[in-house]
Amino acid sequence: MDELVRAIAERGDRDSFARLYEHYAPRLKSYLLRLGGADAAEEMAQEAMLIVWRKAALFDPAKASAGTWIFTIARNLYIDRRRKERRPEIDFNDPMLVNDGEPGADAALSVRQTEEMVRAALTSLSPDQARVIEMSFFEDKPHSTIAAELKLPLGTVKSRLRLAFARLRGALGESAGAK
Amino acid sequence: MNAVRKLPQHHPSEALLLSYAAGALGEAEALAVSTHLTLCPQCRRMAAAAERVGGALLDTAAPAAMAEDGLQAVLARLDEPDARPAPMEPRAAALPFLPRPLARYAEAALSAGGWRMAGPGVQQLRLATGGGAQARLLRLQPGTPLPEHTHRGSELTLVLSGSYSDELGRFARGDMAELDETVDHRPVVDQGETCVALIVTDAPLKFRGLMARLAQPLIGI
Repeated sequence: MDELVRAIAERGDRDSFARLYEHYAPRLKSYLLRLGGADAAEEMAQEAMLIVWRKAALFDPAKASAGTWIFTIARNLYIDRRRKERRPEIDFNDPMLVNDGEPGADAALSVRQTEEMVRAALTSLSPDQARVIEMSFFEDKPHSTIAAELKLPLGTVKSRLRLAFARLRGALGESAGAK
Repeated sequence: MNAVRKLPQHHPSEALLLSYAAGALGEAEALAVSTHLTLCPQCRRMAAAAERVGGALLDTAAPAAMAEDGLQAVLARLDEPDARPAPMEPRAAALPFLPRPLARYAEAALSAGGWRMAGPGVQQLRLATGGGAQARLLRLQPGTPLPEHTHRGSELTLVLSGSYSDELGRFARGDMAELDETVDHRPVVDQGETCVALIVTDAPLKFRGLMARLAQPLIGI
């Protein structure tokens, strides 16, 4: 998928775009439907793909996979269109940006490897943990609402998220450190 | 010649970083988190990891059928000019120490009304953000004690210059406190330097914490 985005950036390749669309547009629609996009999910999925075409030159495969990059595009589009809010983001050209000189915990691995590990770790979560992770990402609800819907104390939801995230990050950090 | 910048010691919770990556935070909370991320490489890596979770969930999502002519419709639009305006470069001349996501909001607020007194030794600058929560910058004179208070709803505090201390420790540039109704604290601004902090409080109905107690007896915000 990364190569398809690069072909768009380098040559404006429409066949590559069509293949990317076939894979991602239906998944974007599914994601946007769950967020609450309802009737606009189809249109927003198309709009997200249009942004992918326009911003393809900004895609950096050393930082994220195509899937992660496209996820952030759709997420920001949803915030803009449905919530009518701006999304404050880090500006990586900001002179105030503080670095510690350390590579990422997963620097020893390629982006592709780390993303595969995240995927594998996702399937190893307990059903309770997987549920709160999925609700966090796909339902545009604050943790207090998720807690109310699951009839759990807010602290329990937060600790499940913390444990799940530790597990997902552990999949990256530990294997990078061990080998 | 580069001075080693001190890294933040107090961080947002994993749950908050996950919510930021998921896009589930309101604009005011996201402003506080993105400003902390600019100052904290450790949390930036965490947030990037959380976005990968979003990418993995998207890649493994069950596809929902698109309209048959969907691809043709998008292909037909590829050559349309991109009408979206380019983001404005901020000039935070009055507050040069503010990282960019925040500088934009502060600039707008300064030209819209500017700092207002909010009690002895306290000025506030309300920022215009969407959503239910309220974001404001507080400028606190050295040594200013704030009344002991608990929080109804949640409150995010991010120090941008100077420092304050309370039962949880000392909070300096980049440090974030994530407070809720279980926290009872009595912050005092440290001597020597004015403290500027970003404060994000929950929905207005719950807004009876620090700001209300501080200001109500004085001027009644």
